[in-house]
Amino acid sequence: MMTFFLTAAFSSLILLDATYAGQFMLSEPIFMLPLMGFVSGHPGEGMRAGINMEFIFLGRLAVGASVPPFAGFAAAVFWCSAVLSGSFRTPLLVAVFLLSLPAGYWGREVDIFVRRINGVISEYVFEDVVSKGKFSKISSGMFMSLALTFFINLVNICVLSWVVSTAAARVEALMGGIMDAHYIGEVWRYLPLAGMLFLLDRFNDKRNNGYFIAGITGGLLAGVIFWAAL
Amino acid sequence: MMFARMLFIQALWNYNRMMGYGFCYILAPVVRKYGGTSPAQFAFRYDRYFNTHPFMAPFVMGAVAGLEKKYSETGDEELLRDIENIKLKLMGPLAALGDSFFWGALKPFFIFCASFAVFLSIDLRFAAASLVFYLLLYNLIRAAIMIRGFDGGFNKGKELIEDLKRLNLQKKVDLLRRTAIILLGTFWGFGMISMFYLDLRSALPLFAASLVIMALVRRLPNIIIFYFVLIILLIGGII
Repeated sequence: MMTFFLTAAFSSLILLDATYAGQFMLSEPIFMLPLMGFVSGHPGEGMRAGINMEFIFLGRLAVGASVPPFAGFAAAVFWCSAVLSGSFRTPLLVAVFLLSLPAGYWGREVDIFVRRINGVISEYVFEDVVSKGKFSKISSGMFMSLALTFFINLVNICVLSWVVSTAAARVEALMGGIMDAHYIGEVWRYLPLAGMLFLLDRFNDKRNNGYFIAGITGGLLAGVIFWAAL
Repeated sequence: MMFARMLFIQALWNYNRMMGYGFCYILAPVVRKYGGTSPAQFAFRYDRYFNTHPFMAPFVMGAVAGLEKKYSETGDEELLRDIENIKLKLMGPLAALGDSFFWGALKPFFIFCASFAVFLSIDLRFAAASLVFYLLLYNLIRAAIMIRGFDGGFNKGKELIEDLKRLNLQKKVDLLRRTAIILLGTFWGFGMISMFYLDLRSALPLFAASLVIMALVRRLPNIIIFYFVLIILLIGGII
């Protein structure tokens, strides 16, 4: 249980990077999950899950004040649920993964809530700055806001992880009943090949269709030549 | 020091002033250094709406810091109007440019490269090293643009727009997108051929799933498409 709380706290800390502090890209699942994997001693599982999750969420842009589904939040719930389940075997990870995806949408609602609270904190802080001219108040306000965001994320991650880990065991049993573990493992390993096509949302427009088709043709030809040569 | 502050521009992001308070926080040392206006007056002047792309904000901040310096030297009230004008004129175009360059091209491009480096890695050490490499490279580019933006804005003031045009970011966006789309097609083609050649059970379901994604992406939310993909993979597993 201690490991679970530490993991949840660590992931809540990394989530601050998404919007409020740094924006180093550490909160993207592709970097966050391997990092958490290294910390928990399962780097390989973290990397595989990171790629799969990243491609699903990467298609959405945070333009202006819009808030897209929060990929990092879903990643945090995924990893904490896996830790809470106490096992990193592939069928269970797949079940946890499927159940964690909607958490990205819940994460967006949490983020919107945090932004509203920020409005209250900052107005309160700025009244003081304008009347007394104390710039240090802004730093205190920022620290208060970051601490509150951390705490709100932590609570939400803990609750959702408990829900996901409870449901995951049943989903795993259900999947195990209709598919063999080898097939599930294979899909989990090669899913990025299909998942990367979600990036078409970002990169493709009518002008680039020709480049995409040229790329596919090149890849198919290279594959045929490569395997024929082997 | 200024760069460290810039990392927190969105720490107080809210729906009333958006980045307004972050902007004030970053420029506070400028007021302390040049002392043209009292902190209270300064805070009053900056207690308003500001929103742009967080990595492009230093361009505006630099220009505003330069004008604040001039104001502290001359006391010319006209400069205060210039400060407001430059903020209003630049934040929109810079936001569009930043969204298109950073969120629309650079970030997905690096994530794509990092993902494939991990996917194709034969051992964990190589995968970890490539993740660190792409993370560092992305942040170096971003830091270079932010620092150059602040300096450019500070030194050039209102002529900053010319400097921005010389950066030619839209051309770089197009180039990155084309490179990414070619790589995407190549990896997918090569990967699919390899799966069929290796006679993997999941090859056909993943091929069908790929066609569904290609057909539905941009038309439906990704998570909905993913659950369609899941149904296909489930059917593939049952058959």
